[in-house]
Formats: sequence, C-alpha cells, structure tokens
Amino acid sequence: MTAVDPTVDPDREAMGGADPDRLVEIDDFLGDPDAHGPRGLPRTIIGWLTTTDHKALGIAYIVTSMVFLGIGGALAGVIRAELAEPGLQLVSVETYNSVFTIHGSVMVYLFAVPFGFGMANYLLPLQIGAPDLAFPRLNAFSYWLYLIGGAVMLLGFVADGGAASFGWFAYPPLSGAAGTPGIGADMWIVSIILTGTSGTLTAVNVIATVTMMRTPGMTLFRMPILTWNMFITSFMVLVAFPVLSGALLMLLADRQFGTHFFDPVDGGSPILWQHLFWFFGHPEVYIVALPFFGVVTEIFPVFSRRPVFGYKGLVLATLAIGALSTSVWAHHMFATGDLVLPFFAATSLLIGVPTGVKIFNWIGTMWDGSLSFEAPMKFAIGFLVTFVAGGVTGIMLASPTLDFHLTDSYFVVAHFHYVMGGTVIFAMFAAIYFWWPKVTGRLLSEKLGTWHFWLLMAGFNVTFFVQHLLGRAGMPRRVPDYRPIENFELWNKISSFGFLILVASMVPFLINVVRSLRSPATVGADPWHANSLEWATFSPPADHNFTWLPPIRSERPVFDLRWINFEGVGAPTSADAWEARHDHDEQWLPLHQWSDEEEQKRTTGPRPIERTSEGQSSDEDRADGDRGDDGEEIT
Amino acid sequence: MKIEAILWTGVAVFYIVIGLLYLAVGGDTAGVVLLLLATGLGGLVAGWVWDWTRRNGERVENRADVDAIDSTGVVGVYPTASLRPLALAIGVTAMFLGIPLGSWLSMVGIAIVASQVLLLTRDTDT
Ligand code: HEM
Ligand SMILES: [Cu+2]
Repeated sequence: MTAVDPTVDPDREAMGGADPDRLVEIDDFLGDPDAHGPRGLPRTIIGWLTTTDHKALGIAYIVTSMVFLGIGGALAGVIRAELAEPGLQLVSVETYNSVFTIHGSVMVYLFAVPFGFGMANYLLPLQIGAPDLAFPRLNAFSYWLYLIGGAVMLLGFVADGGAASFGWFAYPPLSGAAGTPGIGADMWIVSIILTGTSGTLTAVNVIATVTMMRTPGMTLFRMPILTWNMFITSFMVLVAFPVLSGALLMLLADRQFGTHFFDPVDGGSPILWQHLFWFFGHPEVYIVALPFFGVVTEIFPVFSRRPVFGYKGLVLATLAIGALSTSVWAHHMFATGDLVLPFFAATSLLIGVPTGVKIFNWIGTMWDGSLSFEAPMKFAIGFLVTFVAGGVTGIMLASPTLDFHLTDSYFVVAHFHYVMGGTVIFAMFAAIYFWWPKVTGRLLSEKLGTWHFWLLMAGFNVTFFVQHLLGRAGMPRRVPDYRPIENFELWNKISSFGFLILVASMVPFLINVVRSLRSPATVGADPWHANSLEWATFSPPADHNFTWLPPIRSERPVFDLRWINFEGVGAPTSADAWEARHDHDEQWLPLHQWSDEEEQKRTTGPRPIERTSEGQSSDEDRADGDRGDDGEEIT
Repeated sequence: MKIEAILWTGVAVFYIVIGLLYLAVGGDTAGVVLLLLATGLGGLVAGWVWDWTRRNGERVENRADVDAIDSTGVVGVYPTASLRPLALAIGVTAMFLGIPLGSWLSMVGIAIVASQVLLLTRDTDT
C-alpha cells in the first residue's frame, strides 16, 4: 500500500473502516430532484397503455416477466410434486407433458429473454447518456406483442386437447399434425412467432440506440459492459430469432396447409427441424445468459472498489462467445448420429475458453479488492459459483462419447438448470437488489436479502444437485413416473423437498419488496458509490433521464466524478475537463430543459430533441403528473 | 463510426470463414446456408456503416475528448404517446392466430394492422 493506483478507491480499512470521505457526492451536483418536471411512471391506465417511455416499458417488461416466472414456477411445482414418488399421483401423462412443455417454454421464451430486454429498456439509455431508445414506438409495440403473444401460449391450456405437449424444442414428427393434433399446439407455435418477432424488433432498437444515441465522449470502449453485452446479445438475436420464426412458420404450414417440410414420408426431414431449431436454440441460451454476465460485471467492481479487470478482454471474450455460439448448434443433436461430430465437439469445447476468460476477469476484479457483501454482491457471487458448476457439466456434455450416455437424462436437466439458474435466477436477483434504489428511490433490507440469498442457495442446490446423480444412474427426462430402482425414489424426494425451500426463499424477497415500496423514496442518486452513468441522475431518474451530464473520460464517469480532484484517484484527464467546464459554465453540461413555450406546443405533435449549450436552469414544472400522453421536446 | 464498421466487418468475416469451414468438413446444407446468410447480415450492416462513415466523416460521439456540450442542435424527435403500438400488436396477433382458428380472424387482424399502419404514418407526419 505505497503508491496510489489512480483507478482504485483508497482501501476502506486504511481510511478507518468506513467508506472514506470523498470530495464530492453525486447528489451535490444534482440539486433538487423535483425541479426538472415530473419523474416516475404513468399514473393512469391510459397512460400505461399509450406510454412510449423506455423506463415505463422497462418496468412493464420486468414485472410481466416476473409474473411469468411465477407461472413457470407453479408448473415446476406440479412437476416436482408428481415426481416426489413413483407412480402417477397428481396428473395424467398427457397433462404432465403439457406441464413440462409450458414450464420450459414460459421460462425460456417469456421470462428469461424478456427480463433481459426489460433491463435493456430501462438501463441501456441511462448507461450511454441517451434520453430514450432510438425507436420508442417500436419499443412499445414490441412490449405489447410480447405480452399478448405470451398470453396466447397460456390460453392453450383452455383449448381443446390442452396446451402444447412436445417439449420446448418441438421436434417433429411429434409436433406435427398427427403427433399433436390439438389447437393448443398451434397456439404455442403462434405464440413463439409473436414473442420472437417482438424480440427481434427490440434487438434492432438496441443496436440502433447503441450505434447512434451515445452521448459525446461515450466511445464504444467506454460503454459499460452491461451495455456491451446487450449490444452483442442483440446481434445474436438478429441471427437466431428469424431462423426460429421461419422454422415455426414451416411447422405451422405442415400442420395447417399440408406441406411436408418435416415429413419424411414425403421427402421432408425431421432432422432439418433440429438443425433450424438449434441454430436458434444454442445462441438462445447465450442470449439468455449474456445480459446477466453484464449484470455481474457491473456489480463486482462496485463492491470490490476496483475497476473491472481486463475491460477490453471482457468485451472481446463476449464477442467471441457471441460469434462462436452460432456455430455449435448441433451439439444438441449428437445422438442423431447424422452430423459432423468433430466440428461441433471442437467448437463446443472452444466456447468454454472465452467463458473461462470471463470467469477469470470476474475473479481478477475481486482479487485484492476491498470487498463488501451487500445483497447484490452476495447474489453475484452466487451466480459465479452456480454458473461454474453448470459450465463444467457443459464441457462434459460437449464430448460426444459422454453425451451418448447422458443425453436426454436428468444430467442434462441438471446442467441447464445450473447454467440458467446461475444466470437468470441468481444474477437476476443481483440486478434487482442493485438497481432497485435507482428505479424506486428506496433501499431493500439487507437482513431480508441475506435470508433470501441463503434460502435460495440451499434450495437451488438441494433441488438440482441430485439431478446429476439421477441422470448418471439413468433416469430419463420428461417422464412422470419411474421405478423405485437404485436411489431414484430418495433422490427425487430430495429434489422435490429442495423445491419447497426454493419457494420459501421467495417469502423474504416479497416481504422485502412490499416493505420497501411502502417506505418513502429518499435514496440519493448514487447509494452504492457506483461507476456508470445511470448513477449520475436522480433516483428515480428525471424525465428523459438527465438534466446534465458529467464529462466522460473513462469507462467509469461517475467514479471519476466522485473522486474529482482527490489526489491520486480518478481518471487523470477528467479533472482537467471538469475544471475547464466548471469555469466555463456553472450549470455543468445541461443536456436539456423544459420551457413554457414548448409546453404549449405539446399537444400539436412531436417536437425536436435538441442539445444546447445554453446553461439556464430549468424552472418548468409541469402541472399534471401524467406522462402518458405527451410529445416532448428537449432543448 | 470506424470502430462500428470494423466490428460488423469482423462479424461478416467470421461467418464466411466458419461457413466455408463447415462446408469443407461436409456440414449439412441448412447449416451452411444459414451461416452464409449470417455473413450477409453482417455484411449488410458493415456496408451501410462504411458508407455512412465515408459520406459523413467521424462523428463527435466517437471522439474521446468531447463533452455533451460539443454536440448541440436538434438530435432527434420524440414521438407522442400513442395507442397505435397496442392496437398493432392486437392486430398482428389476430392475423397469426387466424391461421389455426379461422381465416375470419386473420381478416380482422389484417384490417386492424392496415388501418393502424396508415394512421401511424399520418401521425408522425405532423
Ligand atoms: C461451457 C459452455 C457450455 C457447453 C460446452 C454446453 C454444452 C451443452 C451440451 C453438449 C448440451 C446438450 C446435452 C444433450 O442434450 O445431450 C447442452 C444442453 C443445454 N445447455 Fe449447455 N453448454 C454450455 C453452457 C450453457 C449455458 C451458458 C446455458 C444457458 C444459460 C446452457 C443451456 C443449456 C440448455 C437449456 C440445454 C438443454 C437443451 C435441451 O435439451 O432442452 N448451456 N449444453
Ligand atoms: Cu448448446
């Protein structure tokens, strides 16, 4: 501890245990949060139905996807209840098939991916200093398509013949007209086409936003890693989702119009479906994962008080994952025997490399840091542990020799629950605890967060660890019944018991959320002393996000701002930039403001967004709080 | 936008390489075609970005030493809040659901979509 590293906070211990005094707090720059017009969400139903605001839509995405998580979780409860004992106790075989199909489909298509899009909606414009996404109306359209499309899938349960029952990957001939005749199957197909289209449009929106809407100074290699990951994810969506939509249209045509794309009797090929599906399906699992890799990459540096280790390496690793993940698809089809095994075994093993690089980056970030374990950090570490466990079994499965034995068994179920649970469950909660103060202006209780974390950790591992053993011993997936051989009964009982702990872990979380929402919103702009731009505005953020922006001189503008002029800390050039700006203009980079005149023009249609160098304070406070019906101008 | 252009060019190059490799080791036709289509996707964006850069030069957003204040003037237009996205989503859903449920539903869907698209273009004209 001799030379000062300008990129690292002084050690807390060295400064007397508590957080060291900073020269400035972000709140000192911001002034009165309510001086800049209304903040927060639409307050009327019409406001919600018509909103194009990225923050409102982001919250809508997140809340909707959590509701789907609840529904998917309830279906998982049915599965675990049925499997708790040998024999058929609870549901018929047909119902069981529908239950695991809709469980998987809801979790993948309606929860995991849209939650990521919700974060992209809310956080991405904030992180790059933009007032909204590039195409706000397209964004609203995507959301509604997702909500309505998702409802169509669930309505399959009330259709004649029940909901789709062919698994989330819908292999023909089982998913053909003869295999699954009911209308529920068609509704499932339509639902995935709609939600897939919604995702594609959001991806277009994200790419356009990142490319064109960054604030000056926010170069590509200063973007927060979360934004980078959303950007790369969006590209993967563009490659993968249209293939799925195309394949689903072909399947629908087979079922409804008598075509024979996947019908071997008439020259079609079921294997073609598998290629098309997994060309989407494997990128899909990384589309699910990458945004959450981004989440933990935002969290580790903040609670380690260090910059992220190897920023460029992380970006390159993510690019490599994004590219490679579209060339490994057939590792899901090893058992068909009809493909170039060495090619896919090699690419699948290769993709473990950039994934490993990321893990070392995360550990390197924490190494020697001044760690603290607030709830977001706990969940981020929970992610790391769980995800690594799942990655290891992934590498095992990538070897065809092992896969021939393990495919279609509970081992695969254990593998993907560890990787998916690590990302979409642990990292999702990390994200919720981390950005909750930004979104709501309130804190969540650390004590309840700790209960939540440990119950989740216990429940998750009790539920899914034994599934490795079950699979290795030969229990196939997607069966409602099994014989009480080996330890099947015991292991299944343990797994079902684990599910109860998982459910219990949601109790402290829900209490936490409700209690927090009932308390007053008093949190400042930057409660965690974080790094990226979203912490440079109010909590919750102002309408169109920023009333001013700090100079951006590194990938951590808010860190630089907090430590400005503090000897030896902060990006060296930002202090100069700041000094120059300070002399030049009391108001510090006012990005936009409201004025009376513009308010009057409000009803006459859309108006221009302007950035101006004039630094008057914005004194306009609109009378009505409903942001649902406004066309807005920023000057 | 040089970096963006390089990024997208890299995407196209990766897919052409992996696509040809897959073809060489005897991959299935669908896979080869998809990889080559992905090449096209990357190339399309790369081409557009290169062209944009050639015509407009470097943007202030890509310089390391600028502040928000350095890019003033009108940067875009916000649309008004609107019911059209919701109506459009309902229309598109009806259009597709009509395939299994009956063509009358598709007709309704098409009518909704057509009317909303028309109104949408007129909205943003003002
Ligand atoms: C270290 C990198 C990984 C490798 C090498 C890998 C490998 C594999 C392999 C070979 C299978 C097929 C097993 C079989 O069906 O016989 C598989 C299944 C699966 N993996 Fe991974 N995996 C990796 C990471 C991930 C990640 C990050 C996720 C998602 C977050 C994921 C999600 C899944 C899912 C959902 C399945 C099951 C698909 C199904 O059959 O329903 N994997 N993985
Ligand atoms: Cu895979």
